[in-house]
Amino acid sequence: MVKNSNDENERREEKTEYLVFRIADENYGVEVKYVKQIIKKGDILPVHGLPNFILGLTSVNGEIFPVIDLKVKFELLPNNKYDKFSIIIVLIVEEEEVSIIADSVLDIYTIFTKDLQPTVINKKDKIFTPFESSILDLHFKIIDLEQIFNLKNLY
Amino acid sequence: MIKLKEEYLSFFLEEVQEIIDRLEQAMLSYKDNMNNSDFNQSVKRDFHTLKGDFLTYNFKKYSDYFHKVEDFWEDKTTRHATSENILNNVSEIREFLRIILDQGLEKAKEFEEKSKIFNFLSNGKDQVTYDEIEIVDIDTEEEEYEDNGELTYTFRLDLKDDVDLKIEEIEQFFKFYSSMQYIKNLGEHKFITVISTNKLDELLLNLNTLLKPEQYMYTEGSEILDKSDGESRISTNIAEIHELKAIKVSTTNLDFLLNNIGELITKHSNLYNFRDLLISDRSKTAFEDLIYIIEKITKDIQQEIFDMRLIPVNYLFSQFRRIVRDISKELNKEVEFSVLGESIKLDKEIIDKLSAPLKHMLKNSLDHGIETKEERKKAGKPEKAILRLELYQKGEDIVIEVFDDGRGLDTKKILKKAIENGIAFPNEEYTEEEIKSFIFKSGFSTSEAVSEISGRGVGMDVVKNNIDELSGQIEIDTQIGIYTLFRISLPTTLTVIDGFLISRGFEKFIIPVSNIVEIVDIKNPKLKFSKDKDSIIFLDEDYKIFFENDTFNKSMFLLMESIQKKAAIPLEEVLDRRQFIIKKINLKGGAVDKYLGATILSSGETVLVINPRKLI
Repeated sequence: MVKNSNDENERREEKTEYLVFRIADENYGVEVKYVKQIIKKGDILPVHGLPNFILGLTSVNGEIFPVIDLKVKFELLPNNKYDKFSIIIVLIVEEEEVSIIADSVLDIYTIFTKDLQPTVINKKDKIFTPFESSILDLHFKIIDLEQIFNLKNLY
Repeated sequence: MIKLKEEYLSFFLEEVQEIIDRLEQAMLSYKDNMNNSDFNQSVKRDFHTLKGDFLTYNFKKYSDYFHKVEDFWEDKTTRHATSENILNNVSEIREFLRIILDQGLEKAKEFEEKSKIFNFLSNGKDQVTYDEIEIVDIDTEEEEYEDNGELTYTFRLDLKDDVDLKIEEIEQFFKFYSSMQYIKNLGEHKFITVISTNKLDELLLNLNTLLKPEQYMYTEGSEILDKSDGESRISTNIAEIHELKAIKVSTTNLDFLLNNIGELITKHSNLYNFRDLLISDRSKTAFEDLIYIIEKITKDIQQEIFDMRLIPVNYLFSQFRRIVRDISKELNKEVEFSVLGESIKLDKEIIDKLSAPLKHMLKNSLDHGIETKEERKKAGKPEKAILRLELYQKGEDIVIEVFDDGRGLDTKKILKKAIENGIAFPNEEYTEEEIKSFIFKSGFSTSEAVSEISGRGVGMDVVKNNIDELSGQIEIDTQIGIYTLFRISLPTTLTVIDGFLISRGFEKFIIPVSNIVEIVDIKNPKLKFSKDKDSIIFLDEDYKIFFENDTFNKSMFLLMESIQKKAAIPLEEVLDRRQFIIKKINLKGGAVDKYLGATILSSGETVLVINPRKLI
């Protein structure tokens, strides 16, 4: 039992870096290890027949990847349009490049595991880890990228 | 008589090298963890592969050896092995393989005589005696070379002392008149080269323009072996050829290069725009010249990298021959198996993805398609059935056909089975085409008795999936009691396409040239619309209109054709025709199937590439 509680302590001392960004006045975080780069929103090519939460395709440095619109995916103010100040976060998840379009990026925060609070899980999509962080008045939901970009879950 | 096709040999040797590497890896990890069942599994798999490989390349004796080794291994690991023992055995086998690679077969034979494990295997409980090592020429191979007219020759040129000719010059000569596979300077003005050609006479005639007859002597083919020290010469050849061809480049590296070259070309086009900043005509001309040269060089490099990705399919086909032979024997069916179009080269990735589906289709044809001898006799067919694998190029496409003159597909039976399996509905009407397509659905199997060879109804759906992944298309042509023909059409490479860049108002697309019949002006008097306006008629052919869209000014129609089907796409303008690099889209399923991928134009714009096989 003693050993277990040690483990528990160790686990609580673990910390992870999150990139926190804003979409429709809400904060979301992704683990920094997935982030490849952050770019200004460029031309996005709509592809007919894709699910509506995929805005289209965009390209950086000769790579082409889909842009995912979490506003549509999470049903947040779907009419809120993106503008030239929007940014695209390029991620590498399971060796595939995908990207999320966001309104702005806040910063990178290092969060202790012990500071994570359980959160409401979006059952339909299973996209959040069951934690959210609310230190320093910063409140954000952590997106489970492995889940959301598992391509089967996209449809 | 020892004769080996060097081309196969180099593939084989590469594979052996890979296995050696893996064995080494496995041994290392085994030392770390003695009770590693992964190790056992991996080693066993490799032995199994070797068994098959040796058989494929007709080293029958070693194939038998590895069959033994495999059995022995199983025995060893399940019962009474000390880790020491296991490691020793594996390292001995690894050593043996290495010797084959580095020093040729002669040395391998010596090693084998000394080796404990081989002695154990040949004198062990089963007491199998082996004949002298013999490497037999694969006779059929020779015939197929004759099929496409090319024969392989080994030349030895002995130049007179006063002739000053460099190896590069000789190489150039042979490369010009034949497809040269190998050249080696033996020193003292002696050269050996292996070439394939169908015009030996022409080559010999031209050799006289390069050298005066009295300046050289050449020996050809088997004579070399008789003249020189026979077996060991070829053994050293094996080592030499391996040395020459052993540069392995991973496709990841190639893709990286290709990607960067693509970028370079893009950036290069941007560079051209700076021309207008230059003031004097002279500097403009100089700039243009420079740009032109850079363009030429980058395109050459690009082409070279494309070519590097291509490997000949005969590598794949030689396995099939063995499989067909084995299975037809097992099923007691007499089959004449022919392969056409082996010289075609395909992208490595395509070949890898094709291997399993084609194997499966051949097995299917042998097992289900071709009837037993008795049935054939009853049906008045010759006892010997025909099974044909044919590969040919059609435009930009590669077409692969698997043909058998067996019982054909019975659509009534298929429909019945499909309904039983819940794939089709009893009350619905289906066209012949639709019914045939049921066999590609998962969980479909018509054979009453599930046989050991082609297994349960997992198969044709996997075939379809793999073909889909390659952006290909599969069709069935069949007549009950007469034949079945599967026809697969694929793009030659997955990374580059010759295409038209077209505009349709706000939209731009790239359409591969391969399936385009013609681009017709809308005012062309021969062009007529059908009554209900959903298709056009041109030169008595009916083309269904796709991608109808009223937001732009239609000025022409692009007519496309795949086998039996025809389509017309209205468009505004053709902007460009050139090679485009295709990038895969990281999305699967649904609408993405309609596109081969996307490409980035020099302007930075992303444009989708239409997949003509899926559109029509």
